[in-house]
Amino acid sequence: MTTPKFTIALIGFANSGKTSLFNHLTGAHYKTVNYPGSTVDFAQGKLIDHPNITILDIPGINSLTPRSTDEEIAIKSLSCLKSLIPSEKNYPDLVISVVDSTQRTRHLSLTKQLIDAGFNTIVALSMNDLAKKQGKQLDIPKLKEKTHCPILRIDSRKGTGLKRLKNICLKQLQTPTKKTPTILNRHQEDITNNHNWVKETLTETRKDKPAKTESFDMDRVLLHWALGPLVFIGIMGSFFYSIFALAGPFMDAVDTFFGFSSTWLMSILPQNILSQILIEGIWAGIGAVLVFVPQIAILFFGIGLLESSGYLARGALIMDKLLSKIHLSGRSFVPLMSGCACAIPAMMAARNIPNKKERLLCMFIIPLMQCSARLPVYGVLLAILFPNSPLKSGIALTGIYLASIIIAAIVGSIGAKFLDLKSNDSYFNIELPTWRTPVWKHLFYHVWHQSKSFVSGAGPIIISLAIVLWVLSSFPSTEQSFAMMIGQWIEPVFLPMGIDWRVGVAILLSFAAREIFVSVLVILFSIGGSELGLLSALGEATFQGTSTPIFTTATSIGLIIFFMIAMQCAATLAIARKEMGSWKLPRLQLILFVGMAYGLSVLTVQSLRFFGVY
Amino acid sequence: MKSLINIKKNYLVKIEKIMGSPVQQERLQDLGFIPGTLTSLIAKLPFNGALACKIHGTKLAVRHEDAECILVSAA
Repeated sequence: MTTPKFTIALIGFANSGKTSLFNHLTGAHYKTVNYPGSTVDFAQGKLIDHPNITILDIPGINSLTPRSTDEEIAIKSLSCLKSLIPSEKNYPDLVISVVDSTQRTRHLSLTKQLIDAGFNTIVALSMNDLAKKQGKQLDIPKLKEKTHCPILRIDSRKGTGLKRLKNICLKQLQTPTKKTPTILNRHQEDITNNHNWVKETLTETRKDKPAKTESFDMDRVLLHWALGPLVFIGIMGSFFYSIFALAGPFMDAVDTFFGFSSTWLMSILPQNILSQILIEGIWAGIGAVLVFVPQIAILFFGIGLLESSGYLARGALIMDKLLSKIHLSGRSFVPLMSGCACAIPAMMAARNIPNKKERLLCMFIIPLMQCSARLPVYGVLLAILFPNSPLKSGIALTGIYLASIIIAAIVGSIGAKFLDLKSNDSYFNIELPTWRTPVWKHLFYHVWHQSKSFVSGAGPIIISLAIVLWVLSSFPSTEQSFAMMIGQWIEPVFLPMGIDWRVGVAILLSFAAREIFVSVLVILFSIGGSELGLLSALGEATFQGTSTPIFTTATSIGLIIFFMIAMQCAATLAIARKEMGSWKLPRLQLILFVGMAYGLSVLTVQSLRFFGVY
Repeated sequence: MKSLINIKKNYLVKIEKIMGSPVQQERLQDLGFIPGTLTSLIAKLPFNGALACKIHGTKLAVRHEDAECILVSAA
């Protein structure tokens, strides 16, 4: 006899404790599955010791009536489960309705909808410790009578009550529902009935005690009209500063390790084309992937900390008004701000935006934020423009950041029109969770999972692109590579920007990583030695065979504009493909941003020249 | 009746009516803004920014435009 297969779905509001419960039930071994054509992630795992029972974590929903495309997909999975997991029936055998006891009114309303739809339901009450503090207690036997389904208290942080939950699940699976569950459209009448039921049920089952003396409410400061934004700037400032400061040494360590190991490998392997491909292509490509991991891990640790403590929701509230101007919500703040460090972790941070359209729009404009890899490029170009004047360079750099924000806002507003994103679509009503200390184990697991998903998801694309760029730059020989041939061949494209093929090749190769631009210039203009040597050598560089200088005021400004707008690197393209689920938008980003960068750069150079600025 | 945006902070009020489009009404009701429920405003950000209020002990954030549709009276 074969063991019958079952599926249990976890359903509840976002932040109801669903994911912690899922991690406990499955031992945190899971894979993510997507509904065909969507980017909504469902975590799927097996019940510990019961490989025949699949557990599915349904993304947070507020009711069975969808309010956004993401909710629509989450709800659809309850009646068309087959499209998500092909070997399954169309609906789950059992649903666990996770109810946050501190928010029982809203959460029980969803439970009632599940029961009414005919699902085989178990109610798991979470956050009981907090509810107790707030004096919120329920008469469980009475609640059982009202709902006609098993109810129990669980603590998904400590893991108590889970054994009982498991036993109830196994028992409940033996008594399947007679009719197929169906989710019907709700009318105003149904909504009113539902609310009345919840009200009635709570009046009958409430065993509330006076709340323990309420300690000082931190929100009085954190959401204060003046202090709130100030504290926000302080917290975010130190948050992003620590990403820069903490990730730096780790990234250097990864770089150094790959540098040393390449030299070592080269010394022990025979000198031939195969070992060259292995070391300079594949091994260096792996290095190009792993170098991002420290930033990703630290960013997700920080976000996890802010999220689980409850501050992220407050921060989103503070930033909401400003971002709503470009049809985004406060949720987009952290991803956009992270884009100033690096677009790769930033795109991953956008996973926290619940609305799909908003998430896509946010990811679309992230490359326009000025990532830190562009700083060395600006450093050289600004030093050429303003020799010996760090103040002027500093002001110009601030100008670059401001200009990029304006461009991002314009692209964002136009993008919102195309995505048909109305300001009310990305509606922003969120719960402000109660302050809690994070569960460190869950936090570290979250960081580990995000880093792993980056390495396995975007890694292969980054490695392949790195190998292609390496082949272009080192074959047939480094002195006369394919990249140089292409550069010379398409020199007419670069001339309107005021640059020759050598700078053009540096631009092409900097698609591997922006900071490469400077090192390629050093090679192509045969500059060795100190940075001072680099600047004066570039300043004196002329078009080959002529005395026309290349790095003039006009061309330097043109190049800055190009780097400010153009899609920065292959890795960004790869992560965009991974996070957006198709090549459609990343391709548009590449063409649009490079096109815009080129067009504006040419326009600037040519108009400056027209007015006599060379 | 006043709209939620016009009341003072930390005063208990009763939700009387939800205005706006049917979709908006349903959405706000799902969040817990149900006529008859008691609520109080706990934060209001400047420049018509978002508001935070407390319902049944839960703190919820709503946009200014949504809060405008929530009509309340003194409890």
